Amino acid sequence: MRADQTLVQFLREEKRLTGTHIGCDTVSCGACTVLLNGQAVKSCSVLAVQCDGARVDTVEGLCDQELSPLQQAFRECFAVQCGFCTPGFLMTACELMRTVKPKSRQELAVQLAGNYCRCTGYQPILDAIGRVLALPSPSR
Amino acid sequence: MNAFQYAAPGCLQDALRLLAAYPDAVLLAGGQVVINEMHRAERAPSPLIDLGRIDELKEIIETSDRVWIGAGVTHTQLAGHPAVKNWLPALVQAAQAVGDLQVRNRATVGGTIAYGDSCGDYWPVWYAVGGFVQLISSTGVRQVEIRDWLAGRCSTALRPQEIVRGIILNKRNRSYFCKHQVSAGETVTLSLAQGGETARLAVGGLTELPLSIELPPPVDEGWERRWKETAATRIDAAADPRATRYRKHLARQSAHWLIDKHAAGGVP
Amino acid sequence: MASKGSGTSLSNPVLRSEDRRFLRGAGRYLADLSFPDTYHVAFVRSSEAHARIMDISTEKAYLPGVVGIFLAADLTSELGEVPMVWPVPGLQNPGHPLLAKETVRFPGEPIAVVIAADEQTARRAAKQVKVTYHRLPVVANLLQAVDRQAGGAAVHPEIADNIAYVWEREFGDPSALEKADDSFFQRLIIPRVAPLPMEPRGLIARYDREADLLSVWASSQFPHVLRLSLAVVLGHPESRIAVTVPDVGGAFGGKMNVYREDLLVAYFAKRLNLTLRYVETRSENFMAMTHGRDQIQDVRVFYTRRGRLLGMDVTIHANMGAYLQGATPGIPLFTAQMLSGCYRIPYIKVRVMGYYTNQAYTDAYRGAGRPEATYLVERVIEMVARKCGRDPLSVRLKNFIRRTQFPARVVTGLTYDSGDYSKALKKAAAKSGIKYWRSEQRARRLRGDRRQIGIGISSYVEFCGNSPSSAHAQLGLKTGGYESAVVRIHPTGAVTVISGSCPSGQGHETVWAQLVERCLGVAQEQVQVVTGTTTGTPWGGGTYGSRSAAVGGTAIYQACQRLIEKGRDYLQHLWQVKGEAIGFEQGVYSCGTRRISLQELAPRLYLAHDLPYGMEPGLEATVFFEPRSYTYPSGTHVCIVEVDALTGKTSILQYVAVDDCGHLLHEPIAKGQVIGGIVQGIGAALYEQIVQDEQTGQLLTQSFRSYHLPKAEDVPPIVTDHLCTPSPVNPLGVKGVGESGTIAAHPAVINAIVDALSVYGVEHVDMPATPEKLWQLCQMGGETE
Repeated sequence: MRADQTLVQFLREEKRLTGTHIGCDTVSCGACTVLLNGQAVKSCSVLAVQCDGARVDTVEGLCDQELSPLQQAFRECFAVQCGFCTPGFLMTACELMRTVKPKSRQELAVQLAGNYCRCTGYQPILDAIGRVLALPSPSR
Repeated sequence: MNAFQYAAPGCLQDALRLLAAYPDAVLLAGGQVVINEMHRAERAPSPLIDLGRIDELKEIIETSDRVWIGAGVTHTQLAGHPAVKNWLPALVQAAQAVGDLQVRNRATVGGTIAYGDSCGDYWPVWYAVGGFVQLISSTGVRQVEIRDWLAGRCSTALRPQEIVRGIILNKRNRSYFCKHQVSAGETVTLSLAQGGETARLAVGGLTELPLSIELPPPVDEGWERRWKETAATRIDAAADPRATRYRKHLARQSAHWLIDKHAAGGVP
Repeated sequence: MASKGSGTSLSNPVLRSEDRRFLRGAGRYLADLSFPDTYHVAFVRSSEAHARIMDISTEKAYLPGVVGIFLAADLTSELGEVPMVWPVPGLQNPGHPLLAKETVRFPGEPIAVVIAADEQTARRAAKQVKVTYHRLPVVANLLQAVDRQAGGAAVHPEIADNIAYVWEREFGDPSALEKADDSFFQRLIIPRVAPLPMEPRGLIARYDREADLLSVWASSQFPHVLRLSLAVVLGHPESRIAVTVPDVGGAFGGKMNVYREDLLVAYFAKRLNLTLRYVETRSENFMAMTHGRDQIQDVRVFYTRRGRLLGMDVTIHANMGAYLQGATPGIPLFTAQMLSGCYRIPYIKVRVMGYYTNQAYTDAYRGAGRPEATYLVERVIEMVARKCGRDPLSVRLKNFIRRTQFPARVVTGLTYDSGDYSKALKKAAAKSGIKYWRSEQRARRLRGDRRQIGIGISSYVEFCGNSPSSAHAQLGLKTGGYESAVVRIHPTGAVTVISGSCPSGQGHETVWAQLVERCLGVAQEQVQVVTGTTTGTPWGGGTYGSRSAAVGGTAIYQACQRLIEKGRDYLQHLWQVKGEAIGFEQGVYSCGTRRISLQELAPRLYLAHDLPYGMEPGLEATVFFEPRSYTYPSGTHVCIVEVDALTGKTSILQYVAVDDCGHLLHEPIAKGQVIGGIVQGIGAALYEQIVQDEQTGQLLTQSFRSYHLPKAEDVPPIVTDHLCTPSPVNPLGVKGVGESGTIAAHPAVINAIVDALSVYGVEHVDMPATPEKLWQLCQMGGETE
């Protein structure tokens, strides 16, 4: 790898793992989110070389044959439209499920501030992750 | 143009040695600024010294009246640490509101100090609470009072060959924080802290450097009114293109709100 | 239509087949494609809004790995310009060169092409190209263009007043105004916004010299149009260009254009015989993807004291940008056409004026002119209600086109197909609990609460299902509006459907397969769906204007019907019975005790051993469906806001949408379109704006750090419901749903905010309704600074 290669470039170009996407150039949109030692990070702002010895999880690792419960929830809630932001949301959701554990839909929404979507209007994404976190559904 | 080099020293002394050997090296911590600037080719490639593997920078240590926060501590770590939760509640709130989850997991206190974005959310807290920035270089350790650290927006008192080691903050369990998002990239942020005789309100986002407002000890009758008047006077006097009527209004309202919160908590 | 198979009924909607790959990160977007020996393209872009280029120095830019740096002078003179297909009568078109020659006219305008062995080198090299500018006076925004009509800066020297065209119509009977009790004037501003799909633009082109074949991959909404444009501009045979669109990460109208970048990458791929790749950065996307909307509307409204809207005299000032893209001039004409809204308005006079400014090209963005129309009409009706002291619900009901009046011809010449506006409004009002919110509003007003409640209604109708080609002819839009489909049953009974639609997240793969299942009884999982390619496909219109179901879906439906008919004709001959005696249900023909499925017929029709005289072998049908009219989705949205007068911040407490898009092909997908559309409308109403410095024209909003895209925490709870008045325009009865949410939302939000702040004397607020703006309005009792 080139020493100045970002993690997202390394994943996409060297490892041919193109599920992690590039949607901006200001560390904003979160389409490049992966887990680094279990923590959600934007891989455009991490150098590949910094990950030496670390564990990196990408969307490709979420399941083998069958979709994971998180992915299935996305599917059932129709939380995917164009799919470009989806891997980023899935990876952030992993950390939310494991450590952060937001207690309300509002808190979940705040924790998703680093993942942008232009297609879905977020509501079905909140439904899907909310379902997996067993959050109370919104009163509508 | 230099060929790119990267090193991740395991201790501060090694980092300093590398910095001496490569004077134009760029220090890398959380990478949220440096890596992005490199990637956008706004920064010419230069040797990178990654401070991320230096454990001694990642400590948070509590003494009788101060809290030491190492430069390598991330916002996530900061927000979750018991010493910070107990003694610097305003800082916890600020840490939870910085950027977003992914940014908080990487960006560091040291990076925030070195980058010196004077409109950033931490500065009002640090001004209100008071303390020192600590630097280390081959000549030893140096401390700069927080209020002397920033020279302008993204301009600091950092000297060449210096590494930010950490920040020493006064314990202020009676500290408060308030943030308003004014537009996509801009905030008006306030913090109030009191410890013993010292009370200070700081306002960020109104002026190039945070406004630091010393307040008299809250002993006499009517101290709240005096605090509010002092704050309002200082805020109104702010002369800066950023200091629009609206932002001054937000700052005044927030100052009142923080002062009320402090009063409600009982005068110590 | 018969439905068969698992999960095809509305109560158990089938999950999307696309999701299997998207959820695994196995989607294939443009930037994911890789080809051997690819070179990378970067653009040198103008850092000035308006300047003469004095010098371009490339001496420091030839970094190792750079293959070439090309300027305007290096392009062959045979190369055409960026295609524009809507020459509005009287249009002054300054042309649209592929690279800036002597003058740059918007920040980000391409000046040079850099080609290098890798992306990073190309970008670094582009930064090393030094351009020396001589600044020229800037027309930094629409207002400056409108105000300086009589002199001042000119974007194009030959168009001194910056006016691209003036289009005027007088619709209806001016004597209707005699009954007016009063009139008022209002200026409405609709800001410039950016589409910002999460995937930026990109194009890969490679040239096979032996076959003279130019292959292009593009993140686009219309591969056939792109191919045609390449053929015309590059002078390359259309039949020797292949365009493929991979998965597209959102488009919203921004990828419904053929850009300079597309043409240049393809041009150089052919000229240099290299495989070239260009993927824009987000910064470039902010600068150089078409922007949306940007109108200033001056309206004089004539009404009766009893709340009847009699007429309007409207001037629409519309920002073209510095140059014209494909449909730029005509988008505001869509606004003009929809000025009657849901109402019977006897008289509408409209003047559309297009202006040039030193800004990026304006073109279609979700709704393409119709959000602007709905905004105007719904703000107007709200103002009429206020001036008459009447309930905005009842004023709407009073002016609505009645259910019995469809098909309803409005004065602008459009005929709305079907609708029940009162029903939608009443349903939305009930569902949102307006009575409760009115009493809450009253209570808060009485006690002078700093947090005021506002109720905003938006009743919209819009035209989509673009389009009958004759409508394009009438408007001067030089394209056809139809859509194509091929449904092919292979000898083994496998099924392929080829659609001219080109999805970017709308779920066509799932819905077209489902549609074929419903028509032909073939299990959905077995249906192969092909979209987004010109290879082996008939001309396709692409996806935009909420047309894919109404027009594309109908084409698929009709193709299926032809196959069913062919099968019936064959069986007539084989079974020696009359056609009427042969039933077809869930894919199976029957007559008496005889049964055979359509799929079983396939091998026989390819074997062709016993076909009736005159019947062609094979089992496939190609349809070009030309709709005879637009379709007209409609509905009412109700938005409840709480505005904190102390901070100016708006919280949307509740948003209810009742939409009538005719029959639904897939309810959750339709709902997803509505919600996504609403959030884009909320974004424009509260947060989003492209801003350029008033003096220098510099783009101040060129990243997500300075342009507020709505995030999860910005989104209110949205409740959707639907009505169905089927469209008589197509056999599916579908209308279109992709843009309705956006079209309805802007006035729903703004009406609510104005309602909330009316206690402070506020009568209007322009978008985006930022906290600072609202606070100022409250302070000034409704007057802005």
